[in-house]
Amino acid sequence: MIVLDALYVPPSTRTAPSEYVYYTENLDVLYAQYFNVTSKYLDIKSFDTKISLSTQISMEISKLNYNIVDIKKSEFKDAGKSFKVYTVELEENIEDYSVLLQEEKKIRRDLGLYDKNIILEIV
Amino acid sequence: MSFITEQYYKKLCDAQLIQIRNSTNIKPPADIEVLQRNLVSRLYYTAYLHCSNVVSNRDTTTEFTHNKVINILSKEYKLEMTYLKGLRRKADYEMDIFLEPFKIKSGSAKLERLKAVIEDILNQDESSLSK
Repeated sequence: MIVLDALYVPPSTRTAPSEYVYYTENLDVLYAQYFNVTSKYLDIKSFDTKISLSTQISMEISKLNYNIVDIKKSEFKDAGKSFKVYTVELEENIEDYSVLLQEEKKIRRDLGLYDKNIILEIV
Repeated sequence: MSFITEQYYKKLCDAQLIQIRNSTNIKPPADIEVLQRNLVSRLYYTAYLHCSNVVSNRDTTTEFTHNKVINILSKEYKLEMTYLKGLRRKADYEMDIFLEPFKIKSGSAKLERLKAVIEDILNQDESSLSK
């Protein structure tokens, strides 16, 4: 299994709409631009590849043109069940969180987070 | 008018959030923490009382526990309310670790998001909140 994780390139320093540098567990470095990441991803996928959830979240948020400062992972338990929390800190100051919340919900649905007991909060 | 329909807790939350937004003048810092803890707790109860009121039409049991109400909710709101319940517990009982998640940007950024979450819940009726 090759696990990919991405170093996200903020929009302000991009030369293309979205850029990522992918690091494999063997420290190979792969480079991809967002709009052709699918073909590269498919190539890599044939080698039993898994893209980390943090990277998937980063990719989804990049579509919204936000700059990510950090993604923190935490866990909590309730009634014997475990829940994971991904807290994404944005560089931007958000004027209206109700708009961002709807975008956040779409990402949760698209990534199937509701079924995995994973909470995404974008701050 | 009932306590729930008048949304007394929500009005309290709105007022406390304004205080926190202007918290640069509040000293000592512990006073801000008191406001943050109170707000998280009241935000949860604002949402919980709404959910409890809404789902009571679906279940005629006279007594509701928090988990019973939350378990009636759809996947989306069940997860949201479970998280809020955990934050509420930390705000009310865990004196050492509550502030940690609020170090992102400023504490008020996370609280502003929580307020949006609660307002979203308050806008949902029985069909969208329940399974």
